[in-house]
Amino acid sequence: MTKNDILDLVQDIARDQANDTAISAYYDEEVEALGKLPNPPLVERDLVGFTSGTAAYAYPTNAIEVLYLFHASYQLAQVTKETLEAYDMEWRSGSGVPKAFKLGHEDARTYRLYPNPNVTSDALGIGATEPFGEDFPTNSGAVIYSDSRESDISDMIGLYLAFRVLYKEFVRPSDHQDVAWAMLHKQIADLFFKMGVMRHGKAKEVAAAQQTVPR
Amino acid sequence: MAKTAGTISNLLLERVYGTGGIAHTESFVISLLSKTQRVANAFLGKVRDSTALAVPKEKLIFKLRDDVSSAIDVTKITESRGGVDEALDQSTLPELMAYDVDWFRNITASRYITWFQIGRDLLVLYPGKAAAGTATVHYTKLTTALSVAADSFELEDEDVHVAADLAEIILLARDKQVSVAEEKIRQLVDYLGVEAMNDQK
Repeated sequence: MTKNDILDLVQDIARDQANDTAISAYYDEEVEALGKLPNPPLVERDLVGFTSGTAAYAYPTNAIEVLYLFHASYQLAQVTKETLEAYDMEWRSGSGVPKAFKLGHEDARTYRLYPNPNVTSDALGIGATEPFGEDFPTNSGAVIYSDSRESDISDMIGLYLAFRVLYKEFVRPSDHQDVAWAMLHKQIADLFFKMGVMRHGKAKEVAAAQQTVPR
Repeated sequence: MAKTAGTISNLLLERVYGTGGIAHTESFVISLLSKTQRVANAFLGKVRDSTALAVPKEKLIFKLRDDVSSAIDVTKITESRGGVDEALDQSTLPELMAYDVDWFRNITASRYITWFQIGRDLLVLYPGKAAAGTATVHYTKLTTALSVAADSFELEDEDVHVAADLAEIILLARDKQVSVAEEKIRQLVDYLGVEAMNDQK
C-alpha cells in the first residue's frame, strides 16, 4: 500500500468526514512512531561515504532512527556523549578509525563518529549499491535505519496505520469529533498491531513488542 | 474446497449491510478480506511457502520485498549440504555483533551458519560466501490478493473466519456500530489468545 491508499481507506471508513490535511500529518506521525519502536518493522539500508576529518553526518533522508552503523570493517557501537566524555575528555578532537557513534539531538538528525575518521571513503560509484557486498567501497560505511517511506507498506501495517489515523482524527476537537468512535478505531489499531505489525518469529520479540504498543 | 471471497463477502453483507444506514459494496468487502486474510496469516502463520534464493558472492543482506516478495516473515533458512537440507540457526544482530564485531566483512565461509531478520524488510545470512550459491527461504506467505468474488482464500476453511471477523469489525466500525464492534473484538481476542486490549488505553 502507499500513503495515498491508506488515506483513501481512512476516508472510506470515515465516510469522507476526515480532514485531508490532518490525516496526512497523522500518517506521518504514526509512521514515525513505528520507526521509534525497539524493533521497527519498516527498515532500510544505504551506503554512506565518510570524509577524513569530518565527524558529523546527516541521517539518510527517509531515516527516522539510525539503528546500526558500519564503517570499513567495524560495526560501530552506539554510545552517549556522557560515555565518550568519561572515556576521553578530548573525544571531539580525536582522529583515527571510527569505533563508535553518537546520535545528535533529535532535531539535528545527525550522527557523529568517534574518533573522527582519518581516511576518506572510496567513491560510491555506479554498481556500488550493496552494503557489505563485493563492491563495498574501501573505507565506506553503511547505515541501517527505520524508514519513513510512503510506499511499499504491507497490508498488515497499512491497516494498523489507517486505524491509528482514524483514532487521532476523530478524538481531536473538531466539528466531527466522535470520541467513542475514535476509541473503537484505537482498539482495532491495537488488534492489528498485535496481529500484523509485530513479528511472531521469536517469543522474546513478541514479548518486547507487546510492551511497546504506541499510545 | 476452499472458500471464495464472494461467499464470505455475501455473508458479511448480510450481517452488516444497512444496519448503520450505509451500504457496503462487494468490491469494498473483498478488498478488505484480501487485507485481513494477510493479517490473519501473519498472526496464525499457517500458509507457508519456500523459495530458492540465489545468493551472489559476498552478499549478506537482502531486501525481502525485492528478493522474496511473497514473504511476510522468514521462518527458516535451509542449505543443501551433501544433498541434505540442513536448517541454519536463527540469531539476532546484537547476538552476532557480540560474537563477531566485523561479521559483515567475514566472507570466508563455505556454508552459512546463521540468519536473522531486521524488521520486516531485511534478511541477513552470515557469513558471506566467496562464491555464489543458493539457500532456501521458508516463510509465512503473503497470501495472494483477493480481487473478485471467484477468488479463493488460501487460509484453510477453519481459519477463514478470522479474516472474515476482522473484515466484519471494520465494516461495523464504518457503520458506527461501536458496541457491536467492541463485542466482536472481544470475541476475536479471546479466540486468538491475543492479550486483552485494556492495558493499552
